[in-house]
Amino acid sequence: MRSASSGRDARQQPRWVAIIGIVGFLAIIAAQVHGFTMSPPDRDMGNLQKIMYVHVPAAWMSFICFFVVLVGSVRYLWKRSERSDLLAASAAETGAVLTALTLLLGSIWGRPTWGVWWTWDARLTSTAVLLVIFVGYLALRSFTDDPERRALWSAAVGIFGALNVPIVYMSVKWWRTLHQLPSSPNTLDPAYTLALRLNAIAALLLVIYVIATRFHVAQLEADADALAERQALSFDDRAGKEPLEVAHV
Amino acid sequence: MSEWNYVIAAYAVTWGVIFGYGLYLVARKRSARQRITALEQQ
Repeated sequence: MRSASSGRDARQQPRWVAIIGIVGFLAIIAAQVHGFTMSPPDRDMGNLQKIMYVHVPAAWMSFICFFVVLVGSVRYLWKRSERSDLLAASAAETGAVLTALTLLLGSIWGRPTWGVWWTWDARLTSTAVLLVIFVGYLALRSFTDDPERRALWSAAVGIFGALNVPIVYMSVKWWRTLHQLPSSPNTLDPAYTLALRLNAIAALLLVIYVIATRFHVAQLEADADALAERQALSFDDRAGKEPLEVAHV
Repeated sequence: MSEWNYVIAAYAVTWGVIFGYGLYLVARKRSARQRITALEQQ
């Protein structure tokens, strides 16, 4: 496994990340203001339709995060690169947060439209399973001290979890239960497409920023672990003892 | 509850998650940097 600290300055985050973060933050405010002020109430749902501008982008962005997990995990198994493992872990954490947000927003939307906060609908259940898989992924990482074993097991769970995403996406077509068919610019009234697109683009910028920032934090933590291990080894060399194992934090 | 209450709740949850996760990342970054500084000073 190659060190995450090789060939880079661990203290500095690239400037483009901060720029994307600022642009994304301003863009999401602008997109939400546009959605509130410019898009008309839905014929059936009224103003509840505005929840779509946060619920649908959150779901789409979680899918993108899990695609990054898939790419990072496969690349780790192929190259054994620590950077790929850290990227997959960063995207998995962001994706889990977004999946939880998607379920919360769906619940808030479901209560006034379906009459229930939760139902064992195919889309809701498969999304909940996806969340459980990635909470398990994060728990696995926190319980495993050995970095190589942690990366290997995480890659396996990450690939398994990411392969669940097509099931979540297709669930509303395969099992016609309560959830509506996927919302996209192709299935929406044109009055709502611009606001949905703007919110999705803004959310994408924010997600790129968050994954990049989480990746930077993971690199810093890996550097701190490597530094602690080197110091423990040099201390034990001086003391003439067997080196102590350094627990990953 | 009126429909606007649900809309406001949804946007409040969204912004709560954005700021909450943002603060969590800032705290972890600061903690990692402090740990590196402390290790380098040993």
